[in-house]
Amino acid sequence: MKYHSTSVENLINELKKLPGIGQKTAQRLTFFILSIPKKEAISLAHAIVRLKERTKQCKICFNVSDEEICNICRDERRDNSIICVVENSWDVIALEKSRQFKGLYHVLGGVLSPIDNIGPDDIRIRELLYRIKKGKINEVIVATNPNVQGDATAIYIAKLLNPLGIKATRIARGLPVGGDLEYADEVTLGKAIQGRTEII
Amino acid sequence: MYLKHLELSNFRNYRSLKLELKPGLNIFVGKNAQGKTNLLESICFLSQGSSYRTSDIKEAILWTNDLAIIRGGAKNKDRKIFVEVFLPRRGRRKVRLNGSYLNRISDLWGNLIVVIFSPQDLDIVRSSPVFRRQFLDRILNNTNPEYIYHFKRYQKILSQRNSLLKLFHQKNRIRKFLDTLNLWNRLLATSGSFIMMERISLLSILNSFANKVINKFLSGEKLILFYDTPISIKKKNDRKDLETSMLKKLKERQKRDISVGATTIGPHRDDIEMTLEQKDIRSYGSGGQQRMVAISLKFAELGFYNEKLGQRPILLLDEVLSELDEDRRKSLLEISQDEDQAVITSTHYPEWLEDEKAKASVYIVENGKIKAW
Repeated sequence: MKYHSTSVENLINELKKLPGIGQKTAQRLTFFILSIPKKEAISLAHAIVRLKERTKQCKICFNVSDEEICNICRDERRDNSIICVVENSWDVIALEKSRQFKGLYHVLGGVLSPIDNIGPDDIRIRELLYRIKKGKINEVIVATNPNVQGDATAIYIAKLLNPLGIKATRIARGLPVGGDLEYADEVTLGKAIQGRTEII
Repeated sequence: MYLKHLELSNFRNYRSLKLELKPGLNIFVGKNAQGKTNLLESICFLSQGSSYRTSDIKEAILWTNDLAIIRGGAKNKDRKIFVEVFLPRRGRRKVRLNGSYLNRISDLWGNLIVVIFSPQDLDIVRSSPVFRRQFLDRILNNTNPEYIYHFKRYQKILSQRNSLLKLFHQKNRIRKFLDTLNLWNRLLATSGSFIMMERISLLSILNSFANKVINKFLSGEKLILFYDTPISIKKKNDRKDLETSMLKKLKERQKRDISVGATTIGPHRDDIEMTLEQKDIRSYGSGGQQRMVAISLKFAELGFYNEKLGQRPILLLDEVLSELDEDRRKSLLEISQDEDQAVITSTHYPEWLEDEKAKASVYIVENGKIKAW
């Protein structure tokens, strides 16, 4: 496409690199930014720069953090005998919203996937083992996504923890709360039946 | 179940067609390229929203038109079903069931079930194993949601495992990945054993249905369908046992798998052995025997749906009569006559219709127009 301004063209090309953004959306965002006051545009640019300059990875759990050690790892009220293993930082946000989990996290930064050339050394499994050997951990919950790669990673971790005598659990699959049975797909419903619990 | 009413608009060579069908036999007679197969294809669209002939729906739209429509009214016992399929030249196809649009085309299946036999189905008997696996997989994917889950999952695990096997060819990668192969074996065996178990149990049901039909064509000859796999099966209905056997076999083949960079055993490589009187019909059967076995497998599929879903599917036979001798043609028409409904195409007026027991509605197909005989 031919634009009359190289500045416009540059920004469109940069925005297009973002996930979920195509040519048209990039174009719309660019012209929107062009229309807002200069102050706001600068504040957006600063926010992006600050994000890259100020954030770090927590040295313990590898979650995004402003400090060397993240809020969760520093919080003394949290149960440090239980670790929840997740793929990415945004999974931590999702689990924190549930307010059900009071332990610590471990962000793998990916899952095993030979197709993408990702093996155990490419994700933070060694770091997880180091944490476990050093601390007093009783249980590890593996909360990777319930797909083939997530399941493979869960089995791999469980196999490593088994000889250490540490309980490895997998998050349950089942029905969404507030949903109707009739709208659930058959496989999810089947898994929910398999993972049923006693009422009283 | 039978299709009562069929309406086509700009579909293939039919500009506009309104047709009433009868329960029992409906025979469409016409020369080649007049639109007989198109008619059966349109009924398949009513069944699953797609065609067995093409994945490009543009082919199904009459030249220069923008939209083809297929409408059908069917009756199953006391239940009436009305299906409309819209095939636009641009944009997505839409399906309406009893007046309301379906979110997913795949939700249509199960309302108006058809079983079609067309000349290319002979491949199930005489071509490569992939056609036989597809035959079983399609039936299971239609009737068992958990099968769909494991079937898709198996493909994903398989491609991960194959990528891993190829990574072993790079020396510097072996150490890094070596201890993960067991893990993929385990996942593969979990889904693989489910697939094998379901296929084996389906096969034994199909076998008994098929023999009932075979007997009408080839008296006294016994068809044996056997699930052919290098994985040893000790107990047929024991999934744990199958899983263990598959894991063992995967380990045995590990070296070979690594050297070829592919998984050489598993349900993706299995086959169905078919013997008629101890003779492997796949390679040594006569053309006639192979055809009869293929037809009986389709009748078995129909019987299975009937048992599983409590609905007798509509039988569609495309251009088989001319390939059979007179006796077999007669037998085939006689057993089709007992179905809720059979829609059959033929290039000739079947002489059997002169038989006093014969009861059929006959139509003439000529250049996209249909009239009663």
